[in-house]
Amino acid sequence: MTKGATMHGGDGERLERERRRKFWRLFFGIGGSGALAGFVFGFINGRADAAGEPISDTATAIAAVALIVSAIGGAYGTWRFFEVADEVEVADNLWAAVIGICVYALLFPIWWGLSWLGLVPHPAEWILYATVMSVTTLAYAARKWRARATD
Amino acid sequence: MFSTLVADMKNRLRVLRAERGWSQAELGGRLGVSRQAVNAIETGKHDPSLPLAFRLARLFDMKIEEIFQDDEGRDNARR
Repeated sequence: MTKGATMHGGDGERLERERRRKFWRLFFGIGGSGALAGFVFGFINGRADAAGEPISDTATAIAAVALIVSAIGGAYGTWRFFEVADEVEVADNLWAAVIGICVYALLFPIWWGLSWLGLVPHPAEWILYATVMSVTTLAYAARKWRARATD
Repeated sequence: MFSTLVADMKNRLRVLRAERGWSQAELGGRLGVSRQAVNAIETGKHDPSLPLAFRLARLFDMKIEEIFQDDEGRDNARR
């Protein structure tokens, strides 16, 4: 008997809804853990800036714990995400990651070379990070949009 | 573009699904993949992995090559 023959009509839709719920829970969980760490970090930094004082040891410890918890949560969530994600989702992520890494592989050495020649400032890590993440996100979105175009 | 990544693969998935009166979400749930994945396979935007192709074949009680055909397979079938 096939796997499908043991199921009742509509079981597949219920399973698909459950799978999708799990997927989005993990998706927002990973984003949420990063946002929480960012909020704690920003809040502590903002308070210290407003008071014109250096960040206290306690605040530093709280921010460090928030970052470590976020890193562990993000790593665990990402691992679980790829367990739940189907092969098309994994392929979309791989596709976007390959484009992102190609951009990084070209951008950094060219920027560094130009800075060595004295034509531009030294590569800025945050600009590199933001560019790679933006390009990767755009590549992912473009692939999703392409799939939806004939949905 | 990227011809080595995307083969010209045709499949009968939409027909087989319609014969059973299943939605894309229903088929996706039975296979353990998303509705979007079923759509991507049906429209030829994604070639399924071998394990997924076997799951499809078992679900429809058919051989893989009865569901999926590439150019060569179609040429041979015409001869």
